[in-house]
Amino acid sequence: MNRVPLITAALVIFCGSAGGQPATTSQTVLTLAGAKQVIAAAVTEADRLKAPGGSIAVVDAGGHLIALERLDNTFAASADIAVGKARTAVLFKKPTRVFEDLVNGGRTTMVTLPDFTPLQGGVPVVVDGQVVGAVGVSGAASAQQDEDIANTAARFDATVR
Amino acid sequence: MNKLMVMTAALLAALNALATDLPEKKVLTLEAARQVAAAAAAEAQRRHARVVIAVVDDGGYPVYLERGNGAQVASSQVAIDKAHTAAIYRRPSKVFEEQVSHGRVSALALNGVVPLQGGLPLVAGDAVVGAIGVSGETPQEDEDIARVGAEALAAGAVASAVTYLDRDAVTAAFVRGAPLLETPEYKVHASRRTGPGLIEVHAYETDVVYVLEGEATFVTGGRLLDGKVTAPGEIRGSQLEGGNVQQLAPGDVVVVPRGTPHWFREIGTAPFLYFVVKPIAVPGGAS
Repeated sequence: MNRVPLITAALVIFCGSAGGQPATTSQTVLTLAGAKQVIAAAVTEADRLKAPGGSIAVVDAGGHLIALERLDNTFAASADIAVGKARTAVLFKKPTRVFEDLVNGGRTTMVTLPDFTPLQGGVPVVVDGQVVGAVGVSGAASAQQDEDIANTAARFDATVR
Repeated sequence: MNKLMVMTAALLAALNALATDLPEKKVLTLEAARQVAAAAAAEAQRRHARVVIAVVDDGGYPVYLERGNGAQVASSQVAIDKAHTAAIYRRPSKVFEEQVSHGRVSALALNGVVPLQGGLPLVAGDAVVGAIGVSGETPQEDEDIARVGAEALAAGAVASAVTYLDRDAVTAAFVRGAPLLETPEYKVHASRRTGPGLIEVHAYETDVVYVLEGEATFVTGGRLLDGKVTAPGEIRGSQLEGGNVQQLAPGDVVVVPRGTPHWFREIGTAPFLYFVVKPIAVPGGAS
């Protein structure tokens, strides 16, 4: 029975390495089932807020896409933007609003960072204190609504299916 | 009527005429994209293939994507690229892989082409409405899995996924008690009982029961003492210890979660007719 849609990465520990420190540690990994749960939560919230549309992307801890859905009639470019927001949120372990505020507040040079989407609407997904991925939303009524949907989705309960 | 109003009316009429001259096109919905991907994902699971499945619209923009557990991470982008190629060129991405492989290296100069097998157009009627791209296994296997998804749409399987049963069909099913619809994900039954049944446990199916006619004594929970497996996930027996007893009458709804013993112990007023929806959750199955 797969009650918890999260698996723990292979636990390989070499105790003979320098200083007696383990050569590897383990990290909780977001599964496709978990990513689909995050998306389902976002779709429900978009519906509740009567959002005019929305693309929702969920990436893993490395910023790689696990799952994506673009709601009917949402503008086409939003799919890539959602992925960009999610990737930025996970790689920097911060909501993308932080970077939008920094750039708008004058730190314009930040936009030269590679593969960087400093647009509100990307939020890390945290399970047991670990960032296991992120969700990015684009295409709702506003940047604020994008983020509201992402926030609700990111709070998904990893223990419930 | 002043001149301005006349001009406005004429302009509106012209615009209307223009609008009616514009052709309409079919658009891939998210729901159809999900179903195309679900068909492909089922095929991938059957083959134990670890892949990414991407569905794009007719402009090549992503509508749906899923990366199966264990699929290489780079495949997310490759699957989109293959689908994008198939969508905007309205042909399998394999065509470009073959052109390049057979010496037409200049095909690499085509804008937006990723010449890798595994992307197929999604066709509805005579129109390309999008494409599916699969990446993660061998090129041939990727395309085979994509084809199952594409054929689900082309064959109308996605459209026909909506089931409509008219009242005559439903009434006829209740006369003898019969399944209305059975899929790998759920079953819908028009059930009829005239006497008590065995004690049942479904390992995978939850029973959502709506009573339409008659009365019955229904026992749920407790411990099945003499359970025998009669089919995968199906357990039957005749001795139950404990359990809750309920009297069921028309209008009642009962939900029996999978794994819970339940028993129509007595039929008070026959026939006892009830509509049942059974969502199926197979352990380790695709979700």
